Amino acid sequence: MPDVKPRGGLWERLVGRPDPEAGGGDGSALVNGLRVAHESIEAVRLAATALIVTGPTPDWARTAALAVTGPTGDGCDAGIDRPLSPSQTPDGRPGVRVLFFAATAEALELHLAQRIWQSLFACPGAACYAGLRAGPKILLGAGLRQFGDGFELRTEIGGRRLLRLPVMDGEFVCEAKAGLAVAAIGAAALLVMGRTIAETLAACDAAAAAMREMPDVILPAPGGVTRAALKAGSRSADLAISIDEAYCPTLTALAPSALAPDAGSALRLAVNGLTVAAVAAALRAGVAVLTETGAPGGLIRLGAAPSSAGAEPHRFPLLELLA
Amino acid sequence: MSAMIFTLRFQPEQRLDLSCLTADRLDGLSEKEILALPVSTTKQPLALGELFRVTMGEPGAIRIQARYADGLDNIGLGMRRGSIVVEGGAGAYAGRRMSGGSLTIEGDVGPFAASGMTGGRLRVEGDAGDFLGGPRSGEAQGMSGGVVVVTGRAGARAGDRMRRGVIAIGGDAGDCPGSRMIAGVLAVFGNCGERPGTLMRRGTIVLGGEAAGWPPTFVENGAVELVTLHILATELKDALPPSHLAPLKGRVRKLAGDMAVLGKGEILRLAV
Repeated sequence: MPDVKPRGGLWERLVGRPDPEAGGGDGSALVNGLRVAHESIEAVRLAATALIVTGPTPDWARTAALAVTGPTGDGCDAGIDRPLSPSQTPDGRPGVRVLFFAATAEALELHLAQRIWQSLFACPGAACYAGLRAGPKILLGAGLRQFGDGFELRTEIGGRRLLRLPVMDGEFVCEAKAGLAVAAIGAAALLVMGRTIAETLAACDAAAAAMREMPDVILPAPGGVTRAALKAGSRSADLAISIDEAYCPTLTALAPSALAPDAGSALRLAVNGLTVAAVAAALRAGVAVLTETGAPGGLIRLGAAPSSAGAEPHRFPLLELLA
Repeated sequence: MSAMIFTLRFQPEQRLDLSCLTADRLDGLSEKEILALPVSTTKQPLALGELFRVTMGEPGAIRIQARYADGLDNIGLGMRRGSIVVEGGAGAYAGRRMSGGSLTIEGDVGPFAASGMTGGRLRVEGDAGDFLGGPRSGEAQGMSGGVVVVTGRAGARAGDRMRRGVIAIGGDAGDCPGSRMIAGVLAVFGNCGERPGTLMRRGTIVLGGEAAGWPPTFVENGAVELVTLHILATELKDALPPSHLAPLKGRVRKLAGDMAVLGKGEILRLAV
């Protein structure tokens, strides 16, 4: 839980939340010395699905999951949701639940086919099943059957239609289709500013760990934390994006800055989730850790990361995440 | 909610057609209407109430108490939901064209059980007759979905023209299991008779024991471990004892065939 104990104000004692007016007229709140901005985190609608990746041992299952969620290009966020015990997987072997997000269902299908073919197919003992069964369907293994060159087999067991491609250790089993999450959102991001790089990173690490504990979400950035601040456009006409100088502490004197005074480092914690509730829970867990760290841990300001959300983004008011 | 119970009062002189005892057929009927349902299969008309004592309850949970009777045909015919438990045996066509729900028979069943089944679960705690999951004469395909578990033995031609779904036989099977299979999974954990998989095009036959005679048109494909059989073991873990299922997670010997037809089927011999 966040450290939002009343700090002397009558308003806080009465309503149990920090006074949005405390310390500033911009609607922000001061919690444990950390300035929480009066901003909303914006998230975009995404197409998403979940897969269950299994392997002969827990280590190989994790290796396969890391391989299939590793970066293979733009346009698809992927990450590990949680490890699964043998009793939770279709084939009774150790497994990992992984999530994939893309802008459209078509793009997701294409990325999944590439990732499964390039990573899982080659990973010893790996198999792949749909982690979501309901909703509209997208192709998984069904898109790979031509690689079997006529030797592929199809089997249905327990309501799962399986593609079986021969490989050197037996066969690669992949479910034909997976369900699509209809309410997935992503790119919901917290912007954390601190005095030093070490303090800010330590707090973000702890927050990312707490956010990853929540089900049905991933933190797509490496380690869950990113330092990249990007803006649309560039001085060069050829580039669609470039660095956002407003969030770089080395440029505060050279360009208009959005950083808090004394902020020596800013990092971003982004989260994608299969449902709005899952993303809200993850953001709440992250905010709780960050406010608990607060000024004693070197944090200065918590805000919403700038978003490129579309016409109707989903909004999470930051102050509501404090409760 | 309590079950609707049908207790057979005496052994009739004719076979009975009990296809009326499903949740869909009984839903919304009064006790009087249920007792008047026809069950005869000869010129001698018989109503349900002449043979059965009925305890009203939820039509989605039916119990048929007929422990010493045989000749009760078409139990669960076209069943789509709910559960039926037969305390005793069943005649022919048990679970035929079933598409959902669960049918449990605590005794033996006659021929053509699960014929044309497309979904749901059929469990037979005794032996099954010939053509388990097979088609009736003139039909192009047999079982095409669902799960059938027979804890005892099965007769000849189990899984004939099977197209989809899983049949698991805990004991032995008769001649030609999986004959003319189109697809699907047939697992026989005991021995089987002559020529398993005759004329199978696709599909998987798992054989725990020996065959009385092997068809000459299957080719040896080596010993392998298959993840697919792990999935089968998971699917059957509540239906059969662990001793039956443990060999599924080991090495199996694969025979490919039937080369007399398409040749995309397989017989997987366990514990080799």
